Amino acid sequence: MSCADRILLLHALADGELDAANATALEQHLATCDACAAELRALQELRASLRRPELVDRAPASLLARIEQDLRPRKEPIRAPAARRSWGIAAGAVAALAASVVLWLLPGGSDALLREAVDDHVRGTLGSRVVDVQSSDQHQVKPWFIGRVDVAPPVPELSAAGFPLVGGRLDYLGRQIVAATVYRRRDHLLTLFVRADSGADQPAVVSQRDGYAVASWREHGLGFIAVTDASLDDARQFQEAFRAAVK
Amino acid sequence: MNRRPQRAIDRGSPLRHAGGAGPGEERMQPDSEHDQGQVERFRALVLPHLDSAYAFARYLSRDPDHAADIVQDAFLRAQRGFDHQLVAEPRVWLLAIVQNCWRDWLTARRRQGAVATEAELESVVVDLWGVASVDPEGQAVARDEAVLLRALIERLPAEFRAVLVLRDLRELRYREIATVLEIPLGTVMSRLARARALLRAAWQRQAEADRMRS
Repeated sequence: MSCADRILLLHALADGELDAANATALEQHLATCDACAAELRALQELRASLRRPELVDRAPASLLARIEQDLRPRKEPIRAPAARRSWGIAAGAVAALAASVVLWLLPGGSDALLREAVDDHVRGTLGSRVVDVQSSDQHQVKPWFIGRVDVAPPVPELSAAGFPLVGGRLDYLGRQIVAATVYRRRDHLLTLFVRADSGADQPAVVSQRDGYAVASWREHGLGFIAVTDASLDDARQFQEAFRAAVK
Repeated sequence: MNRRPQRAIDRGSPLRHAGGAGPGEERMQPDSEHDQGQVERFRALVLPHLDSAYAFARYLSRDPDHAADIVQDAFLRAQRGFDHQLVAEPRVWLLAIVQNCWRDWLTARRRQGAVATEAELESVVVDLWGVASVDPEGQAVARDEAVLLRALIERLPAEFRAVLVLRDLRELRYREIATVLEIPLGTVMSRLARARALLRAAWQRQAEADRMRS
């Protein structure tokens, strides 16, 4: 075999595609052939220079969002499997079960989604970057979302109700890019996640979760989840003020 | 090492059930728990390879927006053809669909006269190398090696670019590349060697041009 015939083998060796027998034979040849050895070195240098993260593109968030939209069924989202649960429960036990029932039927979301929202809220408050657009002016914050999320969220002015606006950012919830608007309640933060949700309108449910107050509701094709370390009552007041303002 | 050409599509190949539905077909409409399970499996098995699909489409089409369209189309086709029991290698399967979508996209554009032929592109490229830096905006940018390398890779003819991107940027095995591109193993090897040789030559030419200017 001439060295010209060996070119393909050199590439295969560099790529780890050569079986042991051929690899050994080639390495023996390389020990005696400067030309082939030089060729292999040049090849390895080229491969090394191609191993840069800047050369490997990552899919933009907008593309992920589009694909997620294509993945979700057009019909109503799968609800909690209430039909399979037994409803033959003694009246006295209903109250005891109320909390768990509320968890399954929480509008626009499952238990897992709320847990994720709490995690997102906490993570958001930990870093130095709570918001990407910082403004108490709804006319600055709302337009920022256009083009960044599929559905621009309502951003009402709520400082009269005791919830001044801090700003907004993008977040990732339920495998979707969602809008997160951040409000303040005294010295606590409240994050409101807004996503497209084609289910029927559902009134708010307020619950405690991992020490955080969570309010969730669905209205006009949007699913809302508000998370705050303020009190349950504060969460309730927030959603009441919010819904009144966006009517 | 096996030098026999390998049939890319055979009984056990991940392409056996590649989504090849024609235009106008309805998007998958899961309306039962079984279908919802299928969607979840698709999400778990195929969606993680979105970045690979996008990077591949980006180098094939040389444009981020076209790449996004091609990838979205690929995912739609993939959903239609997806059966988790039959798709043994989701990434390879998905990339093969991406390549098909790219070909269809290219054919459609050529019919519209929107795309220069490879030959036209290559002649333009030679002039660029002889005259200015790769990036018309500024030589300082051209000195950024990553930018330069990307530009040089994009200027490779498509069949060489595809093999190089899959091997050196996405680290697919030769056998996997053969499946994605539907070519024999031997062709993968010869195109890869040629692609690397072209790239090296282009890079050396660029370095010389830079040296002569400074």
